[in-house]
Amino acid sequence: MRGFQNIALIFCRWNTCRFHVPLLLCMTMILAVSATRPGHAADNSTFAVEAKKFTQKHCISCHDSRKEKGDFRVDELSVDLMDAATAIAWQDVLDLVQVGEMPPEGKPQPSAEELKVFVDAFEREVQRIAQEQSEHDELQIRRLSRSAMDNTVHELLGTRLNLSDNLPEDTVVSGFDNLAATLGQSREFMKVYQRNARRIANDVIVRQNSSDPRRKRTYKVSNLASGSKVERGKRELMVWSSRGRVHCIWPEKFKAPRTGVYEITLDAAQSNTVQELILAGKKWEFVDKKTGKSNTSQEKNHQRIVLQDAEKLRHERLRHVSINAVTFPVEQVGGTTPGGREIGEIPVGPEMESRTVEVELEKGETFFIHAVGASPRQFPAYAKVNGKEKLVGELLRVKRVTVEGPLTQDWPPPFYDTLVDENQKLQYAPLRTFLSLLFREPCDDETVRLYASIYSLVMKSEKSPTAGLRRLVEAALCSPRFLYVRGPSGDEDEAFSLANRLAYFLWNSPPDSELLSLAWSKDLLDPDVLERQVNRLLADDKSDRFVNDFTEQWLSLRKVGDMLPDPDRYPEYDRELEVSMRREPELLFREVLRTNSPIDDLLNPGYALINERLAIHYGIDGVKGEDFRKVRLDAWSPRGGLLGHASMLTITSDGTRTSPVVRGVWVLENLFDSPPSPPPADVEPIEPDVRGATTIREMLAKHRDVATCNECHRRIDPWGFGLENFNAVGQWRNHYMKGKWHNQKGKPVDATGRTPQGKNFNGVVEMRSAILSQSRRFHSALAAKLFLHAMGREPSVAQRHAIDQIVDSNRKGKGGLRDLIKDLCASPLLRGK
Amino acid sequence: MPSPLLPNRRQCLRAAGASLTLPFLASFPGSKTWARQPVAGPGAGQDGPTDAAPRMVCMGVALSMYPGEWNPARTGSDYEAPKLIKPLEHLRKEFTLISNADHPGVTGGHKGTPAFLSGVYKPERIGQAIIVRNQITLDQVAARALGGKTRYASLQLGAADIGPNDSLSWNEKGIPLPAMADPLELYRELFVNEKSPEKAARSLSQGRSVLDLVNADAKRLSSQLSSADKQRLDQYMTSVRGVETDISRQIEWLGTPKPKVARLKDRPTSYHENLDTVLELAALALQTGLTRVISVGLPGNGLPIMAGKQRIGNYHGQSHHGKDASVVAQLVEIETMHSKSLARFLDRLKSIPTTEGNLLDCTQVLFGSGLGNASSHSNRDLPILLAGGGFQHGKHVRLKEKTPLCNLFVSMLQRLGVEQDAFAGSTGNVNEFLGA
Repeated sequence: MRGFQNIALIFCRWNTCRFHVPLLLCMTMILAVSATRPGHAADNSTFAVEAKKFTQKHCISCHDSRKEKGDFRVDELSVDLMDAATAIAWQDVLDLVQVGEMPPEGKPQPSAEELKVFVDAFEREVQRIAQEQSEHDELQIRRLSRSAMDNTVHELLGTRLNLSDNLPEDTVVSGFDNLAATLGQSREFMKVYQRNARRIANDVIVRQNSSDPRRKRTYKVSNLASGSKVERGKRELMVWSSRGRVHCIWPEKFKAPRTGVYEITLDAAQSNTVQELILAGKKWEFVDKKTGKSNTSQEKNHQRIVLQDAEKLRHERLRHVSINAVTFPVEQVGGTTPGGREIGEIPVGPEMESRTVEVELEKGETFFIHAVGASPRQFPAYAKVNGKEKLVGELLRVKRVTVEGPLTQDWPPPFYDTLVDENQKLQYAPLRTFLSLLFREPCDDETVRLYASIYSLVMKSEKSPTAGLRRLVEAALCSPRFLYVRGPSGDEDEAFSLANRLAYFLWNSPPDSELLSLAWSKDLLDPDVLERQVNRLLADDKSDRFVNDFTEQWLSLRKVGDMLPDPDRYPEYDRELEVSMRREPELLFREVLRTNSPIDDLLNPGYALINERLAIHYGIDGVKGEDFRKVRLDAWSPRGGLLGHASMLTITSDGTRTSPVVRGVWVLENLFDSPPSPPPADVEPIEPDVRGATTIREMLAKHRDVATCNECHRRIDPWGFGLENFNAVGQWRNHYMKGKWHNQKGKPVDATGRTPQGKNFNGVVEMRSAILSQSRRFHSALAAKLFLHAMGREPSVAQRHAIDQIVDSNRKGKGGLRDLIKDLCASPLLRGK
Repeated sequence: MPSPLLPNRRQCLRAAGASLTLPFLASFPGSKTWARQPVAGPGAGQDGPTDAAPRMVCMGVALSMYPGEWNPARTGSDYEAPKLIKPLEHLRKEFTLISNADHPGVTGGHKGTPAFLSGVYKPERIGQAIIVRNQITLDQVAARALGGKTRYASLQLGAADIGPNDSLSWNEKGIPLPAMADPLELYRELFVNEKSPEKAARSLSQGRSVLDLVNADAKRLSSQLSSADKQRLDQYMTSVRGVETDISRQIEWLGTPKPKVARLKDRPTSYHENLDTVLELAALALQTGLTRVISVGLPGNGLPIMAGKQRIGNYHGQSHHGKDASVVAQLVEIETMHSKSLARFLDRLKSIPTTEGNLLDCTQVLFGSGLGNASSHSNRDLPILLAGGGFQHGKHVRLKEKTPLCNLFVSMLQRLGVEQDAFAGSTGNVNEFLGA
């Protein structure tokens, strides 16, 4: 019994596993296996023989009962691959041996021939078992992810409201929040979801003769109201930028006529007038507004920061303006400190121009605008300039605010007229089409009747066809037929299931009419038709939704902005930088996909896709404006590829310091699909100490002196050390910072590392080459992530095998990213086989 | 024994309204958020002083309390209060500080946060990633016992929005319960009546019919699915039935007017104003019998943190102080504001009379964190303060090292009248230290 528990523990704690199995599941499986199937059949297979031969020679000396290195014992590992946990454990063994991480450096290495025999035996066995198991049912049903459900109602109903507002977040697994197993559904979820479904139903079901609420309203200085620290000129309002919402402006007497999406346009400019004064060499001093006395205490400090800012940025940056909704008229909210919920933001630059943002407003809500671009450190708002008292600092100048909306595709939306006749009778034929559209597959009579029943029920009590139809739409949106994407339950459904899977994979949206009609005729199952459709889907603009959704999850981009970097160390970090860094990986992935470039380009494209803000951050000259463009890079440039993206470098830091461990884990997880286990339960974490002169490398060295820590950390830390030349917001550094203002040179950065295979590198460029020298590992990892995204589950061992075959054939060809995705879509994998 | 000086119902309501605003005006600058005139009227659903039924409030700080300024050096009753206890000094007799308690086996830094009230952190692999499977939390066990007859079985609140994995309260299925952090929304939920109860009832029952319909359809669909898929759909149907039950409870309560309190006008603009407002609403909810069990999370994000007029940025960053003295000082300043909010809340409960004493006497208030030391992400020796609830307080109790915090939970539940002698990893109880 103890032995089995030990094996169970191996799966949890063995630190190099590619796949891990839930402890309990694993225990019960193994116990069940031991009770029912001793595994005699497997013992006679070639795999059993080859596995024993190989491990006796190369593994047993460390992984037996005497040493149990890495908490793993190969002598206790069964060879029965029918058992999923065992198969996964062996897959891990093979992975490590194939990439050269085991046996460790310094031990005799297996010959290529030995390795091949072992691997072949494993693969034959896996295939045999895969065939045997192909009828086993797997999880096919999958709830729409949050973004998919929003895209679906936007596409199918023309509403601009979201179904996902305020829903409890879904569990994120390896960065992905769209996995079938974790797309849960709790009572809390359903409660909010139903409320959202009702809002959308109210939005799209409108009586034909109701008046069009869409308007464009323009507000100029005369009808823009203002809070404190706002200077009113003839043509402009000057708003002091701060985190405080007291300093705001709002359109007088505006109230949203209807719940919906509104377009707010701001004609404005923004700049730091103190910076302008300093740079122009003018005389000025802060004054206290109330007493009129001068306030010089902070001037020096301010001057230093402003100059530091000016020097680091060398440009007039975009500063963000926040838009907040409130239910009460702003002026009634005690006049000065409105609360409200943030509904949107607009970047505003130094030149006066129009900028637009779309926001959601509830019926009856109004909004106010305040500038939030100011540095988190605040200084007095008023100064004497040439003897005159003026509002100074980061100022937003507003000329005009325009509100347009609510935005809807058509007015009125077509559904009421289509579904109800003049006698207020529900029309069954159009209703069937409507439901089939929402459910994305043909709808039978019984289903149509069921959903029609709610209409009659409401008509009985309320006599209002609008109310009846709204409840019908609410029910359709709450239906499992809407909310879940299902696998085929028979041959008939296979084409529809494939149409849905393709559309949600490559568009993150519902299938369009072309896909649905090809599913209806079953032509979609024809390989040529399928290939043409995949090409069409990838060429369509909607594929951007896939790119954004996939990169955001694969690279955990949602974490960007979770933690504000320490403003003392990184005063130049602003919202514009944050928004830009989040965009960079998406654009790179899109470019590589669009041009069908080699997958390796994701790491080393030879160009960077950046705008001015990022270029400044990266120290690249000659990029002007906020639009992203391709900038050619030298071969030695650390930028361009994912390893030089500020987004990754920032989210793997704690806002203050870098962490080679976290960055190392990022590399293992995202580029190799091989995350390490968390530290064992009995190890207390290191408490960082920044007072002494120790570097993080020195602290980790101590950690690695402990044998149990070293097992994992020798795999993790080197990849992080290679990135040490990037600070906690991804800027280049040759030295650590020190001193009170973090502006003095500290110890020099050491960015050397050694791969687990024993290859030395110095810095990110050499490390990048080391990773690309094992590019198959990277390609295979990316393909596995794409599968995960498309199917909503981890591949099984057999599927993993099929994916690797697709990767290998892709590598024999051009190795293009688009080709890889096409091959995945065309393979039986996407049909759940 | 009711005192002859007890105010009548109307006076009491006025008192509730007045005490609602008065301590606030003195203590927090954002009093603009409350209307000055308390609104009193008929049908407040409350007669005379509040009953003395047992209640429970659990407060969890995501980023812990700086250990160097939390636990006193001395044990017993004559300890010297460290900086973070100072704001609570005048309440010394009303609470106990407990050191050396934690959840043995729970590690993983911030992942210990959801374990604070459950004692369980069960990392589970899905493929190669870890997700947390949690178990029922202390407050939810209490809610099962105390929540049957109140309008809300329990309330989950927050000083700011809280992500699901940082949730304090988890139900028996291991699902995190979302917390309300917007005071306006909370105020509307708790204290604003439907304009037309008939219309609301009709709307609710139509909503229930919608759910009946989709549930029926799910059953039809389920018959065509494989067994693994059926399980997914079962989860869907359970969630639908759950909402139906909630709707029924809502319809049942529609005829009972909500208690009347001073009107909340607007949202606060700083972290601690928000926390104070939420706690004020929590006190009112306990006082007016809306619920008997509340959890309040203090996450590491949210509105700006203001110390006086100075904005302190980067709370999470400060928690990783790296022993830098100036950063530690700022962190302690932030956490002192947590302590002040707690003190205001305890004062508030103490000021509300019940038929047998004051509201604090019958309300257990647990304050603590699932993280022992945020700087190192340690989950050992958690900061724990227990106030009220009729225990014998006034001491700093140092337990044996690595005593399960669940032992305290057992004592708390028993005091509430829940017959349970074990909770998650408990190995006993701590009754002897609490005079229970």
